[in-house]
Amino acid sequence: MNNADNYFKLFGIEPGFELDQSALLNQYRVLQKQLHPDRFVQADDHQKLLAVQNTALVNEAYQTLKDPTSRAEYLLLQAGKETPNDTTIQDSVFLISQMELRENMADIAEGSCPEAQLEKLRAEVDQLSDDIKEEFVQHLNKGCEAELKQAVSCVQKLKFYDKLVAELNHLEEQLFD
Amino acid sequence: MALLQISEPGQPVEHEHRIAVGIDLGTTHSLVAIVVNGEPQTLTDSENRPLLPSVVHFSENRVVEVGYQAQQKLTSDPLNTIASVKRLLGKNMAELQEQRTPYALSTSESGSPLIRTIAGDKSPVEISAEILKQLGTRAEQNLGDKLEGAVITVPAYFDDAQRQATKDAAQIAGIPLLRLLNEPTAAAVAYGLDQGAEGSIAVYDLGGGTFDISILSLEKGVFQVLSTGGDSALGGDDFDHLLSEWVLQESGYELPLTPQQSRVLLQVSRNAKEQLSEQEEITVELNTGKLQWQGQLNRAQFDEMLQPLIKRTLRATRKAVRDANMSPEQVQDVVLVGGSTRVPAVRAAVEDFFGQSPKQGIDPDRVVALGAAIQADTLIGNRSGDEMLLLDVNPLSLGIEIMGGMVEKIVPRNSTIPINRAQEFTTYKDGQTAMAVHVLQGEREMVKDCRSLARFELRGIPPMTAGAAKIQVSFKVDADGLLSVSARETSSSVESSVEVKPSYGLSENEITGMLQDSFAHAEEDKQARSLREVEVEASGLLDTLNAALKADGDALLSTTEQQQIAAAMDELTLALKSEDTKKVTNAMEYLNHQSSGFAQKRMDHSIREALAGRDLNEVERT
Repeated sequence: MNNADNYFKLFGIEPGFELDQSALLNQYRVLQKQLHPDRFVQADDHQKLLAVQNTALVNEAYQTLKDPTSRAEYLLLQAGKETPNDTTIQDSVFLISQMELRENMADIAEGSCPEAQLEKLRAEVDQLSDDIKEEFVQHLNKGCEAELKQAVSCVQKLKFYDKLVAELNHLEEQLFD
Repeated sequence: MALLQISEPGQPVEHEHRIAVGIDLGTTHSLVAIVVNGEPQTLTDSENRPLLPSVVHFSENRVVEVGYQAQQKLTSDPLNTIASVKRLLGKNMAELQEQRTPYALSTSESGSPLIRTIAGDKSPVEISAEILKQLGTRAEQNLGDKLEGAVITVPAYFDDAQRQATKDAAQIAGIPLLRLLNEPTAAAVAYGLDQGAEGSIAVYDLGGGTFDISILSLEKGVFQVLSTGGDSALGGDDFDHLLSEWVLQESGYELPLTPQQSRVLLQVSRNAKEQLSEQEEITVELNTGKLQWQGQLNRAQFDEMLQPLIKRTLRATRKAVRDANMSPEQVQDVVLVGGSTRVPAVRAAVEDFFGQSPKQGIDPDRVVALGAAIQADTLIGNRSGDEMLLLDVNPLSLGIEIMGGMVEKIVPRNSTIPINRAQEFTTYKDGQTAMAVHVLQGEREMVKDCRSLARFELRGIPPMTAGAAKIQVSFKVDADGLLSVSARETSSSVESSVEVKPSYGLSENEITGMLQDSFAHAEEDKQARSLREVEVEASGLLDTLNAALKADGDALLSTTEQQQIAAAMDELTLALKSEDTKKVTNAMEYLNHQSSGFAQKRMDHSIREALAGRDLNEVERT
């Protein structure tokens, strides 16, 4: 498919971090309705294979754009910046806040009202993550080398928050059992 | 055919109605259904019964009985009468031994488990194939024509090995498989189309041996699975076992029981369970040979026994709702599927969890088969394609083993399929020239806690310092949810790949052997049939290309390209006259090859059209 190089183009939406989720979903369904292997059950092997590849690409593109962190990472990639997976973050203020959040999380299980505490912490993490997203957009829009580097560090921070949210979900499951 | 559908969307191709069925291959019973005049209906046996008990009896004279007849022999001939074989499908020896099966087990040459019967050693795949064959025969007798395709349902939480085993069973039964479809998705289709529902649906499916929970969104004919979860070894059978344990405890009878006694005990327990769905208090009675006992049991006691199992289903449900980024209250409709949801305690728990009473309507025993029939009808081309599309997910994460016995996940669970994912790995030692790739499925971090699907080796990596080689491991999950994996060293392009065929599954040879065993078709018959099939396919291809060339040939192709395709078409026409399968196949492959660029151009063309600012509503209307 010729659109492999640009997921935004594939979905016919303006490239950018802000994105209309319902337009994305709508277009995803349009593409799937035309390209899905179920449409090619009676076709020859070559077309079947093509359908699987095309659909896999559409799925990958949709997943990438739907999730804010992977969307941010993809936008940086388009701007020529790769986000390293395991580089340590230098921002000591951020690291200290991470440690505090994790300590709060560890306290929840022993607390008197774990459910309420968990919701409070979840809201706090969501807010912090939203702040970083705003920061990311500003850096990305400025576009020069130094700003893009800042944007990369924002994505790394978002990944930290995503991980924290996953752990909160896990904790919630344990609490409810 | 596909070319034609792309060029003229919405204009249904004239064709004859083709026979395709939906099959629910269940733990306790199985069904077959078909769409007639747009309505799905289950097909019955000569006594008008829709259910076929999933029980197979083998006898000395090689007569195989399936269904009610076999069920009657459960207690009289327990070792040769196989029930709940679905629980054994795709399992290895160790897993089989953990289960409480009364059967004598042995292993095949390739190490996959077999059940010892008077008619020889039988694999769970072969036994499942007997059930499928019976359903296929039922369909063909009912419809008076040859079966052209089937959609077979599997629990959403079935892993790769269990899916592969189901596919193998269809092959051995001689049933052309159109697609493996997840049971809750099938139920959602039947329910959604019946009620014209839109929005979010939770399907809670508790069958005889498996539990599935799926959260779906339903918009404009697209059934999109958002998340799925479950337990492929939890179901109504476990309720029976709990009751059996209670009876043993109360009656004071000591283990071990004979296979016959176990069977009687299980039957008594199952009856008690079913009675308790209707009555508040019952008398449980053991009355066979040495086992003579009678006791009272009320529903509250039974509910108490079930709580741990029900809690397990709710844990999975909570996780699935969370994975769909929803809360229980946001789910608009709740659908119950599977015979075990008749148990009042189960209904109450689900109602309490979602804060709403589940939808009544379609019979929970039949809803899966009905949904599968609708999908089969769509796939075979009887139903206008634009009406419905199912987007399913892979239920369990897929990954490979990395240093330290850890699992690196490559395809996360709940990814919409088909999906391709690749990840780069590197060497651990200087001069390392080979790498073992160990493919795993599951959510846990450690290899030992995940299911091992396959192992293969990438050899011939050029010697480099540790960490310099770049090895790309690619995972591909197809629309049936089946995985294939390949690995490639990218600087030298050394490649190695494997179709993931679980180590405890059946080898190709074994399947071929079973096929030969089960079919006694004369070789001539087979050849004639395959020639006819190829001829039909070839004429179809020619028709399609003619129509496509007429529509888009001048617009998308140069004169030279058109001439190349025309020449290949002439060759195929000539080959058709030869009545030689090989010649026709070769000419067809050549034509496919020559026209593939054209197909790609038309596909791109259709994407561009889709991108030209049209929304879903418009596409619906065309």
